[in-house]
Amino acid sequence: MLIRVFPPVPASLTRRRLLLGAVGAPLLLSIGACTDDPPVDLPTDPDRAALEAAQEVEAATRASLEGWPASADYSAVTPADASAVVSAHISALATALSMSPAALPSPSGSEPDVLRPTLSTSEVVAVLDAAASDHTRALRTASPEISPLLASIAASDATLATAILRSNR
Amino acid sequence: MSDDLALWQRTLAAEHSTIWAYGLVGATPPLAAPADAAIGEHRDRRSRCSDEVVALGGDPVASAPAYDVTAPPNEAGARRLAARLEESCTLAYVALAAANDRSTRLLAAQWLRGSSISIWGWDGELPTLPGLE
Repeated sequence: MLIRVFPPVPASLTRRRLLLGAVGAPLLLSIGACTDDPPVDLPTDPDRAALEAAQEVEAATRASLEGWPASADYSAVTPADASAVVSAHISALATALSMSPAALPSPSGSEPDVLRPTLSTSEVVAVLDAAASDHTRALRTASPEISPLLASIAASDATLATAILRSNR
Repeated sequence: MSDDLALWQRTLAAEHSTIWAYGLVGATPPLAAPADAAIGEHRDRRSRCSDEVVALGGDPVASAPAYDVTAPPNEAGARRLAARLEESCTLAYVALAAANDRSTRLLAAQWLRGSSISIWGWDGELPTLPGLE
């Protein structure tokens, strides 16, 4: 009979814990083999786990940002698809920027948001510049209905990149 | 009149008024140099607009003798005016980005990018652009 003692944890967290090595990993592997819900209260290195979690999110974000603008076939994008395109883009950028140390400038002069440092300012700026260039290039294949959308996103990305760059000088 | 011709004419009209009003910005002493740079940029764009209108068989819209713009009282006011001028241009560029001609779209995107950055440089806020509402 299976007795559940530990609360459930996300699969991603379980995988990270199994990757920890050292003392915790063999123990978790052995317990994980006989229960559905692995334990979460065994001793681990919180700093290392946090770092690994951040690296995973960062890798996913980079992949999203690198793959989305360049691979999208804008000739097939209709105005009805536009909101989804923009949502995906903003979501990806928000994720990237929330991981940056960049102080997002505010034209109104209010205090900037200081965010968690994993990506460097130059990396974020490079991502934004690349996204802006990709969206501009995509204008070659986009329909006239979608072109203003892409141009606007590109301009927004470029402005944000410039603002971050200048505010961090 | 083709759609693209109307878009170029609208952009040309925006450039006319922007160049005129930038003179008021430049009259504010600390902003003379950046205003001159901006005027130079918009003059280039105005020339391009005029050329495109002619190429499409149109008669380029003329500049008005004057525009209803109040002279800014100080540097802050001049910066706000400059930001508003760039904002009006961004809206024209966004419209131009919907041109049928693909090279026109690319140029409009390039101008939109420049103008958006200028708005930020003048301490302004980007207008609500398509997709970013």
